[in-house]
Amino acid sequence: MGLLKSAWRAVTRWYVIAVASIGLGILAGFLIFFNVLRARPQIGIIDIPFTVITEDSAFFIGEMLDFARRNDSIKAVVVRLNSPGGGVVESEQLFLKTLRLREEKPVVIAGDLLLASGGYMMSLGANEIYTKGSSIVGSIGVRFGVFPPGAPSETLRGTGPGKVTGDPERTILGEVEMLKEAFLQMVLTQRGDKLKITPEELAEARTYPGMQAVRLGLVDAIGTDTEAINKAATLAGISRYGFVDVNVEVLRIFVAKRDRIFASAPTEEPGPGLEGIDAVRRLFPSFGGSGTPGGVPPDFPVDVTPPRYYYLYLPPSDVVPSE
Amino acid sequence: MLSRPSKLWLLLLTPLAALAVIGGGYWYFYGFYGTGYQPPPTIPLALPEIVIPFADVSGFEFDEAPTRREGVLVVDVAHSNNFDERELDPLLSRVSDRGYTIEFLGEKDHGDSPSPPPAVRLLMLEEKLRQADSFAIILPQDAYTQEEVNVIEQFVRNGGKVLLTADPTRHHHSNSVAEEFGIVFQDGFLYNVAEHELNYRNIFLRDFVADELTEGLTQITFYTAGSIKSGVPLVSADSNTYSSMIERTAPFTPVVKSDDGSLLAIFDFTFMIPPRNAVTDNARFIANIAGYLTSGDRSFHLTDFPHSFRGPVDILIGQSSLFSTGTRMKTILADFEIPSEVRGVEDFLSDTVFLGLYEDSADVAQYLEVAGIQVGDTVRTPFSPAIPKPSTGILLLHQGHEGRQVLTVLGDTESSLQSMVELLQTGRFRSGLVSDLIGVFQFQ
Repeated sequence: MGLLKSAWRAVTRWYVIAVASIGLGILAGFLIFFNVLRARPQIGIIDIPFTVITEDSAFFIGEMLDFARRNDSIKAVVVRLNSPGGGVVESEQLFLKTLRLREEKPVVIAGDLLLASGGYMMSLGANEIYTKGSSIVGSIGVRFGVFPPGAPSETLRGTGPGKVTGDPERTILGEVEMLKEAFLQMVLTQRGDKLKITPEELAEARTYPGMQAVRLGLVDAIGTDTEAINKAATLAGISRYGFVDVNVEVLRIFVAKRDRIFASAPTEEPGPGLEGIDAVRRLFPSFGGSGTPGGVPPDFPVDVTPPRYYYLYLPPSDVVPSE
Repeated sequence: MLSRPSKLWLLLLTPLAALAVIGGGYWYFYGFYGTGYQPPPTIPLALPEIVIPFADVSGFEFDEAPTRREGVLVVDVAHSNNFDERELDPLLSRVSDRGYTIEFLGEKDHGDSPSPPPAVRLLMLEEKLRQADSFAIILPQDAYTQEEVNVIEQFVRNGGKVLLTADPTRHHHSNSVAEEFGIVFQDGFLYNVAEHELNYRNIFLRDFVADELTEGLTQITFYTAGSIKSGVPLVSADSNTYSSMIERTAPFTPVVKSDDGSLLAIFDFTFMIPPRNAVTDNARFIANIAGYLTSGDRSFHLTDFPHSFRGPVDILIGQSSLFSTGTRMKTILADFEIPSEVRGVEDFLSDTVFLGLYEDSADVAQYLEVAGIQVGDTVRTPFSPAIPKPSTGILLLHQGHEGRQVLTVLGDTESSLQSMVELLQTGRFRSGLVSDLIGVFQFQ
């Protein structure tokens, strides 16, 4: 009893209680800071190596942007981007998703070789755009094909002239001009006073080296990924941070979803309505995805191809020589 | 030793420590002055307010009632020409409306079969241009040989008109012809970002030079035009028009004539393809081109036999014994789809072939005299020495009032006359001519 009594007296001495309380507080502080508040800031790194923006690639990039937006520990996002653009809808979708992300967290683009056309459109949604001095920037415009209306079919009918034989050339040209104007408006509104180039010059759809793009206000600065990260941290108001490889995290989620789907539905063809089925189909086409969701109705008399307009930069290799 | 309440108070150190850690964490990671992220203001896009910038391109169809005259337009399809015959319908229909017949050099719709070899093409070209009043060369992908160009130059010297059309969007070897006329289709294409018909490559042209080809035109629209160097400009692009090749503006001219007006060069083909042919004054311009092609005053020579005949031909024979020779001539003309009749009396309004012996020369004395041909003990022409009559024959093409053609064929004997007719049939007569209108032949 004497021993217990002396021990109790020892632990109830004021300095022991004080040290224990402080120690407990420190432990609780760390737990709260890192686990409850998730306050340790991270910068999400999204890596987009040379990518033509297609329906599938846009889906995956969009998922990464959404992941970075939803993840509370990610305080800023750096997108390493190298893209000549791609489909108009897909490019516009990535622009809007980037813009949506910017409303919550700073987004900085670290451009590589190409920030062109739809790729540049996506970067317009960011707070800041960095490129290399020799990057290819610009190409603000639309590529498209004009095909004469098809001949009317004796068997395949539609309720209006545009339903089967397609729109006349002038209609297509007008629509494409609208798309071009929309692109221009995105540039003008997002770059604002930074621009040192007229809309008419922009409409020429030229490309510029990164160093000239800075002078013209199309991008903000020449810099490496490090400068882009530092800028993102500054915009987020963080001085020390860790990194999140968003590509890996999103892929991890997709794989987990895939495993869960196949664990719960042991058939070769995953049925509709399963969580993440779309992701699985797009990422793993051999598991049931064709890349063209929907497909062609059986026995349809013509091939179905979507109308294709592109915010896409291509080197001028298809110019027809006159001689 | 502290009292019990005092010891309990020490437990407050726990939250204080926790707060200190949390605060220290924020200080460590966010700094003292971190104010958090302030997103930039989002400027809404006014995309629904963007409207389709349709330009006013009214003008559309151009109705006309042109004067008809006989003639032949030959269209080249023998040089792997890079167009579909249907694309040429707007022009050819207007040429037909003017009374002209459309002939093709080479086989239409030959698909992927290769063009004929140059030697064969040359013979085809010579034969076709004998009957032609005008010649259209559209986007030849096979270069013209020098021999072929020489034939075209001869055709032009005889009053033929040539249309040469190229297009920057289609492969062509038009310069193989154009350069012989001092004209060059330049590389690149023209564009106008400031003002255009729905696309920067669709340029408006308003700066016209007064000419039959620009009559009545206010504005035409070309859908990817190129610039032509040299020649007589007929229309020029405005100061906002640039060339993709040299990236500067200049008075670019996509439509020119050769210095003598015999060749019309246009560096855009797509403007005449429906529905573009109905935009602004394009239809009127196409009509003017048709007018140009049917306005030639082509002179025909003996070498052009029998294509100098444009209507039914009367065949006259000097004596009844030559009747079989007359029917043979009728067969020859029939082979060229030229209707003819053997008649006994000359109709001075009809094209005529006279077949006779020297002793019948009095019947055609008026034509021989005009040509300076004397048939006596010898045969004399202004271009040849006196030739003994035995085993000889004469050809004379007389071009009379309002284009009447009279071909006189004389021989010293029926045998010689038959040989002359045979020469006409085989075309070998062309190597024995002493001038454009006279030939003297001697048989062994």
